[in-house]
Amino acid sequence: MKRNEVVTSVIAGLILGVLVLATGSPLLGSETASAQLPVADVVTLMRNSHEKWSSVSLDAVTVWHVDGESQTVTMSVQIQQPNQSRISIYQVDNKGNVLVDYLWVTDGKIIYEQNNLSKKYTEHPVPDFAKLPLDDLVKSASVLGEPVIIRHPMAMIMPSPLSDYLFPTGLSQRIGVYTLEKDDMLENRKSVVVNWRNNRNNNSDGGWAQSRYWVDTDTGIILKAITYGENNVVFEEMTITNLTLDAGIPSNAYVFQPPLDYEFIPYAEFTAFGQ
Amino acid sequence: MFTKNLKRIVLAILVSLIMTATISNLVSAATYYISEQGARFIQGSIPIENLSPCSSYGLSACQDNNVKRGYLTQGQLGKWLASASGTTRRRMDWYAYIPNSSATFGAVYYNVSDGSATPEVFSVPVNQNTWKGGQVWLGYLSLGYNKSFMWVNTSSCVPGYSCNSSMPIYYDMARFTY
Repeated sequence: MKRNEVVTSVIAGLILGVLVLATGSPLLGSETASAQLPVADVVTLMRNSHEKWSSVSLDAVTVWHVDGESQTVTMSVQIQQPNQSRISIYQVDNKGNVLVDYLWVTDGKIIYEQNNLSKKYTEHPVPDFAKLPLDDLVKSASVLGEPVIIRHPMAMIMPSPLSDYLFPTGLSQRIGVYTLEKDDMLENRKSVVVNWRNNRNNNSDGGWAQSRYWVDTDTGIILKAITYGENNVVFEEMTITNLTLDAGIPSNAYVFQPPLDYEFIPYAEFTAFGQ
Repeated sequence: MFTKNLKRIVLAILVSLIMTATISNLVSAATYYISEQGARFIQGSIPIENLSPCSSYGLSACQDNNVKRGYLTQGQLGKWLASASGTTRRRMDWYAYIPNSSATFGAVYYNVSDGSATPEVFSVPVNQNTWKGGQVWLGYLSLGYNKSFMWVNTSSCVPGYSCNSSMPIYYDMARFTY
């Protein structure tokens, strides 16, 4: 090839490259296409995740690792936005001791809680703030004039580590740095893995706090999460399975019917509140 | 002729592939920084726990900025009280600041009540490990009689979270607005 032919070919290649980048051509392949999602867009997707779906049904497992021991939590969840939810929680330690056997249900007006270990249940109203749309909450709570982390109201009232993964708008506001890692497939869904670290300079011990999230690229729901504790050892592993989106939830899922031999006790007593 | 054109095409495609891959990698490696600037509370010396009355400090927000540490399953850890003059029922918002650290924190309920005989009360589970270095909004009492309590109770674990007696819980700065 003559020199001018090489130059012409290089220029043609550059033009082709620009066209590919500008149009998001399928030449890049599907894997690369979502890898190009800027991390800022992933964080925005997490922030607005609740707008991407209306109902969800899923199972999930969380494993906690503390002091060389583990606790395994099995959860089953149904949610109908904006404010109906049912979650069962079963937690055992690595010796097989049952720590938690719990049911939490809300029909949007009343919250019902049932402790299957003590055979007691209670009910209490949904707090007024949890009935508001998130946008109203954000406007309402920003009166401080300072950055405030506003979690989704459902994430605030659900007693489960899943709540902020299903409504990750609060996590999108975590104080720290998000970076993009890679694409992945979970539950036959495309996800993008982001890594979060806090500001090392603010830690007296000079270590990092770190989490990794598998963010569903369609909905922003976090399908899998790993959080690292001291010395960068895994502290929390959460994985969602059997995810079904927008298929509707039977309305009786939010009807609370305690077993006949369970005892009702007032909310303050149930939660061991006291002043 | 065919070979010459083929070489040109191959060279052009190679150049475009190298360019595309280089730029793609640069984009995917970019970082997104959420600023911590201003996330801390106003510094000041306000009496610990009893935040009453806020108005004497000329603020619409009360705060307690003495960090304390306890452990899961220990029992009641911290309590804040805020009140204002008058008898007007009003909305009372609570916030909490979680200290920054690489240590692993536990999850607790932040409980809020107006302290009346038939109290308006709610509890918000907070995984302190998640919100380190941040100021978390905890909701509000909608009909408070100018008096509001918030407390952290660690004697009952939050279902689904790790519950280990060696896990630290912090209570740092709490804020209250009305």
